[in-house]
Amino acid sequence: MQKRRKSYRVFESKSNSNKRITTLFVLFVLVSGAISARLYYLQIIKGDEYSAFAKGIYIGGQDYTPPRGDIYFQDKTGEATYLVATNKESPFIYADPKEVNDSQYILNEISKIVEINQEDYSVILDRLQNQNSSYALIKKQISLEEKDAIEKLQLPGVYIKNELVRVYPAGEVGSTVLGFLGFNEEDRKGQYGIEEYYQNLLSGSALGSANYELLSDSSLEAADIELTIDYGIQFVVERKLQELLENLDADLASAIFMNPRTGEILAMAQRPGFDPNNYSDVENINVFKNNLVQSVYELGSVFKPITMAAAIDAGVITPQTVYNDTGSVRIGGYTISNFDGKARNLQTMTEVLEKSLNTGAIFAQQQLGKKKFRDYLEAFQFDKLTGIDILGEVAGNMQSIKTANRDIDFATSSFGQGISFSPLRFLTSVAAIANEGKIMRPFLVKKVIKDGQEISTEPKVLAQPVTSLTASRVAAMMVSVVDNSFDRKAAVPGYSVAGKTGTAQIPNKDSSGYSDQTIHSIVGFAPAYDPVFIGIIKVDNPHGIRFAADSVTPTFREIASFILQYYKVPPQ
Amino acid sequence: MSLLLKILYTQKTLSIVILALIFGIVLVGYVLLATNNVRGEYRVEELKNKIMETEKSNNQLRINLTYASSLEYILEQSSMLLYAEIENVKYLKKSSTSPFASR
Repeated sequence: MQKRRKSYRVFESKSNSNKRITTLFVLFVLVSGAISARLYYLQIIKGDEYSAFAKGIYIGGQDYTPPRGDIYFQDKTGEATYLVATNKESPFIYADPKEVNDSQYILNEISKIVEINQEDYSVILDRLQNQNSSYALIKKQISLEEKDAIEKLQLPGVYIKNELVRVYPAGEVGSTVLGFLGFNEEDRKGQYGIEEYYQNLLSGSALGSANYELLSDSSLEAADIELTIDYGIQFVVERKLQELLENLDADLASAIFMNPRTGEILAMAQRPGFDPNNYSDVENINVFKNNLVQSVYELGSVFKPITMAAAIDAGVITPQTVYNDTGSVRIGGYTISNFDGKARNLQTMTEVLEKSLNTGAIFAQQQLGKKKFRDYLEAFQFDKLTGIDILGEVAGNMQSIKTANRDIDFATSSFGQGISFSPLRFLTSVAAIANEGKIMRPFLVKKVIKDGQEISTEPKVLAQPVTSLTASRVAAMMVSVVDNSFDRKAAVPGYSVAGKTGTAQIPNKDSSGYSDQTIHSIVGFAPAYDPVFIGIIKVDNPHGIRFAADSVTPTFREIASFILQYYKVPPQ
Repeated sequence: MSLLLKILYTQKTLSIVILALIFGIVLVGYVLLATNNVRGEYRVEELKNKIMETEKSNNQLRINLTYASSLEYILEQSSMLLYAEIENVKYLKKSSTSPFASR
C-alpha cells in the first residue's frame, strides 16, 4: 500500500514537472516567435520605409537644401544645349581662433600659398585674434592645388571645407537674362533675370511658379531650366553691341531677337553688362537692370509701320495712296516737320516709310481718325504687359492719347513721339507684321526638367490686331524700305529683309520739350515673307552719327546675315 | 560518462538544452542578420560616396567642357593660331577666265 502511494507521488511529481516544462517551452517558443516576427516585420517588410524615414530625419536635422538647378541655353539651333549656370564644390579656409596660438604666423604661412591683399589681411587677422568666436573665415574659393598645399602645412586650428558655389561658365554672355545668385541676409537668393523669376523652381522650394506649379510641389528636388536663348546668337549679338557701344561712344546698346512665329526669345542683351561670377565687383548697379524690359523710351520713326498697318487694316489707305508732302504740318499752334524740313510733293505711303516722312505718318493717322488710331494701338497690346518671365516689366505709356484728345498728341504718336514703350513691348507688337497679324506671348523658358519629368512652354497667341493680308502688305513696304533707302545698309544679299529705323529725341528730364540727345533704333525681320527672326537694336545717346540709318543699320545687317546662315536658311 | 549521459537524458535537462538551443539559434540568427545589415549599409554608404565622387568629377568635367567649348575660348585659341576672323576674310573676285569659273 505504502509502495503504491510512493509510486503515485513520483508519478504526480513527474507529471507536474512535465507540465511546467511544456508551459515554459510553449511560452519560450511564443516569445521567440514574436521577437522573430517583429524582427521580420521591421527589417524585411518595413525595412525600406524605416530606412527612408531615418534618412528623412537625418536630412531635416542637417537643414538639407538641394543643389540649385542648372540653366541651359540652346546651342546649334536647338540641336544641343549649352550650360550657363551650375553649381561647383569649392574649398574654403577657415580657422577656430580658440585653437590658434600665433595668428600672425598662421596668416603669414597661408598668405605664402593663397593670395591675400593688404586690406583683407588686416581684416582676417582681426578675425583670428577674436577669441570670443570659434569661426574665422580666411579665404573662399581656393584652388585644389592651394588646398593640398595648406593641408600639408597642418596648421593648428586651420580647417578646409567645401561649399557649393554658383558658376556661370559663359561669363558675361547672357547675364542680362540670367541675373545672378546673390544674398538675402543669410540665405542665397536669385537676383535679377531668370535666377530671380524662377527662384522657387531652381531652389527646389515647395512654393510653385506660375507656369510650372505642378512640377514644383512634387518634391524637394530643384528643377533644371532650358531657356529659349540661343548661345551662338546671343554671343554674336553681345559682341556686336560691344562694338556699337565703343564705336559710337554711347551710354547703352541693347537688342532683342525673337522668333515671331512662336514668341521664343533668341537673344536678349545689353552693354555695358556684367559678369555674374563677379557681380560684387560691379560699380554701377544700373547694369543689372534689364532696360529692354524694365524701362521705356519714345520710339521715334521705328513706330511708323504700326501707324501704316492700322490705317491699311482699317481700309483708309493702301501702300499706293498718294498725299502731298509739304515738308511740315501745322497742328494746333505747333509745327511738325520732316527730319530735314524738306517738301517732297506727291509721295506714296510706301515712300513715307522709305523716306521716313513725319508728314506722311500724320496723314495716315488723320485718315484713320483719333478713336480708331487709339483702338488699333490697344489692339496691338501697347497698353498691356507682354507677360515675359522677368520681374519688373514696365508697362508702356500712351496716356497722352488715352486721357486727352488733342490732335497734336495723336499726330506726334503717329511717328512714335509722345508715347513710350519698352523695346520688348514694341518688338512683341510689331512682330504681328512678321507673323500674319498675330502677336505671340514672348517667353524665355523652353523647358523645365524636374525628377525626370519635362514640361515645355507652348507658344500662345495673345491677339490679332490686323489681318494676314495687312501684315503682308506692311511687310512688303518694310522690304521696300531696306531695298530703297539708307543705301541698302540693312540688306543681306540673297535674302529679302524688312526693316525700319528710328532716331528718337530724348525728352528733357526736368522740363518739357526734348534734349539734344537721341536714341537710335532699328527693327527688322528676315526672310521677310517667312521670317525666322525679328529683332530690335537700340543705342542710347550715340556720338558722331546723327541718324540710326548710319549707326545701327550695319550692325543689324551683320547680325541678320549671321542668323540666316546659322539657321541654314537658303537664299531666295 | 554514463552518469553524465543519464543526467543529460533526463527529460528536464533535455528540455532546458532544447530551449537553450532554440534561444541560441534565434540569437545567432539575429546577430547574423544584424551584421549582414550593417555590412550592407556600409557597402551602400561606400557606393554612395563613390557615386558622389563620380558625380563631382563629372560635374567638374562638364564645367571644363563648357569652358572649352565656349565661343570666347574658341576665338581666343583661333586668334593664337593666327586664324583670321570670318568678318575679315575677303574673297577674291573670280575672273571669267579662271580655271575655276563656273561651268
